[in-house]
Amino acid sequence: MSNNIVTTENLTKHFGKTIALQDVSLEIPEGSVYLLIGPNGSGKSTLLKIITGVVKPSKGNIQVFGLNPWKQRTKLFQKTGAMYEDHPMPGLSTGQDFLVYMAKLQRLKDPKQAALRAAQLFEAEAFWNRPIREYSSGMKRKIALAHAFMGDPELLILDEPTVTLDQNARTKLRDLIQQGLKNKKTFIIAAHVLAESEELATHTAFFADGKAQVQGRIEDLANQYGASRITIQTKDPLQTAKTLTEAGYTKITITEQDLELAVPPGETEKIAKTLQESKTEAKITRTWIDLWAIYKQALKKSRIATLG
Amino acid sequence: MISKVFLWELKSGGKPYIMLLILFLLIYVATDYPPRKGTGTYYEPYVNLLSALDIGWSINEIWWFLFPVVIALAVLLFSYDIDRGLLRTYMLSQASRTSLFIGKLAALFIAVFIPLVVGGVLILAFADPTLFLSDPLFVLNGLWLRLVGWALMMYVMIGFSVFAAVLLKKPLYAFVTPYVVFYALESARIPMSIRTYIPPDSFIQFQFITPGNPAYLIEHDLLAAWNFNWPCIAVATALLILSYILFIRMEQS
Repeated sequence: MSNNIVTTENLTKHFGKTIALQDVSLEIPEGSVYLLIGPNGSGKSTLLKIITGVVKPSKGNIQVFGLNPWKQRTKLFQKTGAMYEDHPMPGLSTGQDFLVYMAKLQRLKDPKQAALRAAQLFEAEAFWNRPIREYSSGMKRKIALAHAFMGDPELLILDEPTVTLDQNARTKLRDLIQQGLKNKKTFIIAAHVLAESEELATHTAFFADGKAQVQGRIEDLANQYGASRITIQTKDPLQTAKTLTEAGYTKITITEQDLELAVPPGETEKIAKTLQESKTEAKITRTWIDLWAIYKQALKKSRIATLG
Repeated sequence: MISKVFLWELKSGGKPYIMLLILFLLIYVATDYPPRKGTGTYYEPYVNLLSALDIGWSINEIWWFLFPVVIALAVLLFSYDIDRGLLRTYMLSQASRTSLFIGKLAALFIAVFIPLVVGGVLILAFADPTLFLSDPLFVLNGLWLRLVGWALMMYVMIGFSVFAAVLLKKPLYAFVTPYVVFYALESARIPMSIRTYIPPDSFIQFQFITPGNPAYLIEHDLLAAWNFNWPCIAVATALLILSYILFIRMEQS
């Protein structure tokens, strides 16, 4: 039995003559952080609106938890939380009233407590009794995130969650996603810039012109497109670079006290050993995947001229 | 779920202030200040004072005063351009579109009907000089018939207003169109036999308030009103059903 939370087949959406989404087929597995990335207007938000059942697809199939979101939205939201980039809220109401109301619409037990717990996740209870119209965009984003996380849903759909958030809230969000992953929760995150929480992504799809240009497990994509990277901390960057070059690693970027190195699949340990033997006091501080490198190459491959 | 949506829609977005404003304006408009000529001459004590609050309410006045208020609230609650964003956020919950539609409709009805009734009853109770010279319970004479009459009138207004608000995306068009349609019908040279079926003339049986005279309404008046009003009530019902279909199929793009 498939453990995919979301499955789409040839999903297409037209708004009049404008094609917002074209033949998108995705499988989003349980317990993953699925990152939808691409420039503005590339179709990410339309896909999220179809997944949340507020927009009806023009063509193709979609199932979320085995449900049709357009027809069975209320059932879907028994275990789903979501926020939009422009999460609209009534300006005259307070954040508290809004969250309590949303908790009631979510049929949560003790809506006031549920709202408070959600607000506390992003420290929004400090300002939530003020009218929403007085909030900064970052404060609104915190209330929107609290709305999405309220009731501890199994699936979280977040559209540009980190934009306008302060560093503290970004870290909180990252921690919540990390914690959620341990509990087999699934996250779908749309972004046009990458931030800390997006680095937790396990899967990705890159959108351009309404199409998913490249998609899959990030590790597989990194191997396919040579996008695995390590960051090396060293007191002598030039000497370390020389050592690595002599060992056959040529794709090196030198910063002030760091080196960034493109790593062929499975060679991280070999590099660590090389560094140890070189006695340059260099050490690997971070292993990561350069998503932009994947996208750039994928775009090049599909002959799309601009990245956005 | 409907009751939660209803309560929220009723109390949020400054609607209590709008309701208070309606109440104030109703009392202001409905009380004939300064008093009209020909309202009768009273020689009893206090009459001069009381006549300053004499009633000059007719169905025509209620209709033309309330209709834009109902349309404005309908546009606030149902207009795609105004409410689209919020509706999209409500969609991220277990509230069904049907609950949202009915909750909003109920909020629209109550937000106007309660001030109307309160205003009407207050005016009848405190402004009718006869009341103070005879049985205060006169004010309750035929009250339920009046309430039914007002409710039917508001139902017709709501049918047209909600349809305009849901169909016409621009709030200004949605606000102006129904009012202009009825104003044009009122101004047009339509034979009297047809005009009596078109609001506000179709509600003429409820034109009951005569200064200095407690309002007597009997069931016969309600039946007569129904005979002239069933076509516009049927049209309003059809428009509400159409509005509902449009609302539940509407995408929040």
